[in-house]
Amino acid sequence: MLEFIISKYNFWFYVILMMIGLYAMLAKRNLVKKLIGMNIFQTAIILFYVSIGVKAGKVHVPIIIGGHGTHHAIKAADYLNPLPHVLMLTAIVVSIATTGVALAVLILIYRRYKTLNEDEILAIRQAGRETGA
Amino acid sequence: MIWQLDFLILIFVIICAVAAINIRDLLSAVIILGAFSFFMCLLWTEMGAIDVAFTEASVATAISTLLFVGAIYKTTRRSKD
Amino acid sequence: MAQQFPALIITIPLLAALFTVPLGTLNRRFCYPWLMFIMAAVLSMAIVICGRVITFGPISYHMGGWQPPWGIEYRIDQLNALMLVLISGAGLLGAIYSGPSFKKEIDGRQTLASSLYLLMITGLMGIVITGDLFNIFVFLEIASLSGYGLIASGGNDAPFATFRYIIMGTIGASCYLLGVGYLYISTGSLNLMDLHRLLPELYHSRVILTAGALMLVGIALKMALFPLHAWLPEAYYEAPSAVSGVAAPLYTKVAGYLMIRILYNLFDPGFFTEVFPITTILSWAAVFALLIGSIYAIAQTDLKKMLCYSVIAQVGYIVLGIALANRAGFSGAILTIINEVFTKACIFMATGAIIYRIGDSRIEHLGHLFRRMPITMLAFIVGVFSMIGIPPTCGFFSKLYLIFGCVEAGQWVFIAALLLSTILNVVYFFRVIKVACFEDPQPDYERKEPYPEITMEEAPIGLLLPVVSAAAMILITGLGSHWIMVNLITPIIPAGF
Repeated sequence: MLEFIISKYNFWFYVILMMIGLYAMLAKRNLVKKLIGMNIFQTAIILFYVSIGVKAGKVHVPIIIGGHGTHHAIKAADYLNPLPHVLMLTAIVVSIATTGVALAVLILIYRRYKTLNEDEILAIRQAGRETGA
Repeated sequence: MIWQLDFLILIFVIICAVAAINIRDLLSAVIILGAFSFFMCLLWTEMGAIDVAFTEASVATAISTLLFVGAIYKTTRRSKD
Repeated sequence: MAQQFPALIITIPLLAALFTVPLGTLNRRFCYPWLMFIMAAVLSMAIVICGRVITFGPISYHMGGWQPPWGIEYRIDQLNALMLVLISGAGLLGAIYSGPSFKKEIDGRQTLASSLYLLMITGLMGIVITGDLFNIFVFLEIASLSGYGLIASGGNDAPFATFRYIIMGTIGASCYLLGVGYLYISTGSLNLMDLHRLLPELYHSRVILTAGALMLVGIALKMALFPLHAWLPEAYYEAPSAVSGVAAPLYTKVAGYLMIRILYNLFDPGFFTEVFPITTILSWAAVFALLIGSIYAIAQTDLKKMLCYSVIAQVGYIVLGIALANRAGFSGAILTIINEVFTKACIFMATGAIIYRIGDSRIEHLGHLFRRMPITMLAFIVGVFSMIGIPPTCGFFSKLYLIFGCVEAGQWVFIAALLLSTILNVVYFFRVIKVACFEDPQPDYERKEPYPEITMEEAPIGLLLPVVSAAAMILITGLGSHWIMVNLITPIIPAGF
């Protein structure tokens, strides 16, 4: 049981990081803190994917030293799995794009409500609805 | 993959994550998020994913921190929680 | 040339979205004809692909020449072709609509809005055409990000609603990505058809169960299924009229298509009915969505917000049809998707035309509307009949098949819920028709003030044409529903139903 926990500690840590990010997205009232939580959440998923490709023992990083132009066969069991790395390049860029869009929306929110606290924004909207309705 | 180094960097990552969401000053929180991304980049290098590592270093650590600092410059640095 | 259409149908709107920005910087009035031209080209390619699939059977296109499962494969069968035609059709209607509507509501930013519009269409079509799970995630994020940008460009309260949508949408997409990761770690493949072959021997393992559950939760969040629906009403209410006229019909229905693929083409129908009773949970969530969406809609005083809650109720119909897991229910779900794309396009665009003329869409301001905008209101009434389910519109056939499916499954509570929600639909839609079309019944000798002077000021032709075309398509798909059943739906019913 103990070795079950210790041998897979990467996966336990990714679950802890994901829960930290989820907590920040749900419980924090400041909008920038929610975005920081979203960033941590998505980075935890990338940690999971990269841990898929790790192999124990004496393995090489998937680069062929001095292999430019040569086409010799390699033993695939000696190299790490490079497919999750490729998928995660896309996932990192998607995470940054979402952060960029959310920050632009945040600037628009600040221009209109003059605050970045969710409670105060909801109070301003409620007051506006009562006077306008 | 050296498991002692891996474990140590993961401890630092968790400390950075908890600190980033609990600090009241938004600019400090964002800088600690940049440190979080940098520790992740070290983690990827140590796990053998060097293309992910330099993508994370250039995009997430540099550009994302810049975007956050720009947004905080245009809005406000104080926060209530 | 027609061989390469599956790749071209994604590449052309993607490149056009990039070219829109320098084109619009030259002269802002070039965006509108450019948008219509690209969407017309995409629609014609989609119709050609659909024709080829109906004649020859499923097409398999290998991107870059690499064989699956090492390369990305676009596998187009009848369901994919149908969704392609629906998305490009609704996209063309929205493109025609966007000219006058963008000029009225977000003047000065038409270039960027048109570019984001083309990106959104690219993303949605990519989701329905690809056969690779990670590719679905990439296109899902493309569609979502451009949707966030378009919705945030709306009026006064749009940014906050968009922020909520961003947070919830990101959680959904990340859950889906996590599910794909769990499937990859246990099988080593990402291709839909390949996984369908590899998974049956792994059904007893908990990793596959977690993967399926995570993917379904992610898709349910994107689809606004009942407990996870809170982002939808405000986001689509605050969006500009052209955006909500295209986004509201399309996003949730594409997520519904994704749920069909995950439930019945990735996992066998037997997995989700015997190993883990997800269909029971989904059907009860769908029943709650039907009833609660309709009840919320009755409580609204604003027409556009009422329609947003009606979208939540219609998502319940689709999920109920999917979760019934028999022939009639599945056909009902797909007919509901077809019906919903055109009906919601018609009704949301008609509401946008009303907002164009009157200024806002509160129900008490809609008086005498039938005399001021007769053509718009006629199309609106056709849309309302389709929502309620009056023949010969497509809504009648979709509800009929759903009720047949419930009878076949022996679930009488669901039939009662369906009929009750239909009656609730009648209540809230006919309230609008009563205010707009009928006058206050006062006899002439009791009337104190003279009759008001009402002149007909119809919406401009750019707004009218999509609304009337959508209404016409509702009637055409209704009358042609037998052809649709025979050619498009019966070949894709999963084996074992």
